[in-house]
Amino acid sequence: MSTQQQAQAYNYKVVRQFVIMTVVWGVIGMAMGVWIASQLVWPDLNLDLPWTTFGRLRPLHTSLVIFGFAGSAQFAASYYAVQRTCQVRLYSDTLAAFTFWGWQATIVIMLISLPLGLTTTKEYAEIEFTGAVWMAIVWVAYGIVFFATLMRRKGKHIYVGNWFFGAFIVVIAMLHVVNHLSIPVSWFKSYPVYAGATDAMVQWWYGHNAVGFFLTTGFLGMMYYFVPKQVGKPVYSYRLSIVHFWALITLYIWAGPHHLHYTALPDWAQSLGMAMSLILLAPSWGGMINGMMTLSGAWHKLRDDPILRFLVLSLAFYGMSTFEGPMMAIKTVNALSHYTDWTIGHVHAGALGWVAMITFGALYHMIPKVFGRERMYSTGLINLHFWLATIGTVLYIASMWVNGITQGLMWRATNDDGTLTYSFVEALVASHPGFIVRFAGGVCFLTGMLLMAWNTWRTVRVANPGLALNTAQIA
Amino acid sequence: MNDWGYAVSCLSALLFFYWVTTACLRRHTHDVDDQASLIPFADDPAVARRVEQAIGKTVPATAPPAAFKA
Repeated sequence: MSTQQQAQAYNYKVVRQFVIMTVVWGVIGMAMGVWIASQLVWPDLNLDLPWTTFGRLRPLHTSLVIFGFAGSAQFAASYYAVQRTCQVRLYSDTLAAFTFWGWQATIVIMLISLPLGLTTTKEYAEIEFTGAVWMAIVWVAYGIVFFATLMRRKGKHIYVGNWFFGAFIVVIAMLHVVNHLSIPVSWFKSYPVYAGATDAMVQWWYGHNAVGFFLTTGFLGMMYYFVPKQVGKPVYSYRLSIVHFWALITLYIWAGPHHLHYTALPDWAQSLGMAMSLILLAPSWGGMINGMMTLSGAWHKLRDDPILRFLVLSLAFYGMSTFEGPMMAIKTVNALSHYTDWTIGHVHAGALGWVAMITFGALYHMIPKVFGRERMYSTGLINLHFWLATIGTVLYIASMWVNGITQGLMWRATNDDGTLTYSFVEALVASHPGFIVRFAGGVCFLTGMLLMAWNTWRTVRVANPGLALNTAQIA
Repeated sequence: MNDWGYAVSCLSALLFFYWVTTACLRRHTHDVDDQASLIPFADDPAVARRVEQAIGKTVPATAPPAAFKA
């Protein structure tokens, strides 16, 4: 590409790189999930090695799917959408390339350090101090690339999808830095500056908003760009999207204490966390309805467009899990659900149903465009992927509901003399069938992911650089 | 932070939400919203033509600055 051509074209190279790594980390992270699910069915599969025990692989699974898969997907989608809606090339090719290699290095640090047992023990923030500092540097670079691109936009208005991406970048930076404030004692060991209930509150302020901003806000940005594009109609209500944005940003940050019901956290903080979680239902459903209603008059497209089906089903799961979340935040419900598999099921309703499905839809939309193809190698395989992902998600969450309620009821059952009716092991035995169904659901979901990898490989192999360059030309 | 401090913070957040949403929507006429919602199609002439046929409105080739005072 000549310098002049390059200056007039979008930077698709970094988008292509992130797209491919989304698929790669998706396969590895989900395979890791299936492995640890199988360990709960057949404990011998921990191989009797310290590095492959459930306790070490579980944080690796969450880190790979959250930061590797979902993170790379958001880099790709935000870089793609911000260029196209601002009609300018990304600011600084060098810095954009740094964010790609820097982010991949972060995931590799997790891949190596977590099985070795090097962990902060903070959920979703397990990466130790040195890795966390590197991650913060890469994130700042990401912010510079994104916001500098926004500042160079052709029009005056900033499209609402970019507001969501921007908020995701700013808030994640704040959460990551505050939660990782610690005193290092070696390269890979540190101790948090907080103690006791304060440490727990900071961790769950981070943890809940990791879900709220890393796994929701950025993906809503994706929704506001890719759903209208795939439907071929503008978003149902632009005004509602603005109210949705500010309501979500204002409310999400307060709901963290619901993770600490019935703990040493002051009771008033727990109750306020519960109240804010219930209020959060309004903006969540406002956004879901806005996305769904974009299909008004175009529902027939679902019949033969599996990409649109992924996007719409993701919104349905978003609506379902954002209803379930506030319900589980009610203290009396939480007394039954907390520490049980119900929580795992809830997380996966969001992770598989919302995050992964909208990512699949967005990737299937982007891949042909950035690799210069008219469409993906096989639409039939996308369709098969859709059904495998749907069946896998339903098996997963249904089995965890049954397990969660069974466990909650067995743990709280008491005899007339006040002793526990069931031992923990009896509850574990009762959970075994659910573990098998969950494993089957995970296998279905992973098989779909492997089909996507194959479909992507076949599409990328015959990439047409000329057509890619044409579609990358700025209008 | 004590109970009152937390309550005042929550109230401030709600007031912030009301203020910022009102500020963002001020001068947002239906025309402005319509134009803004078409931004994703502005750089893709082929898609823009299909959208125009579907909704009966013109998709601007670039976001016209004059329409976006809000």
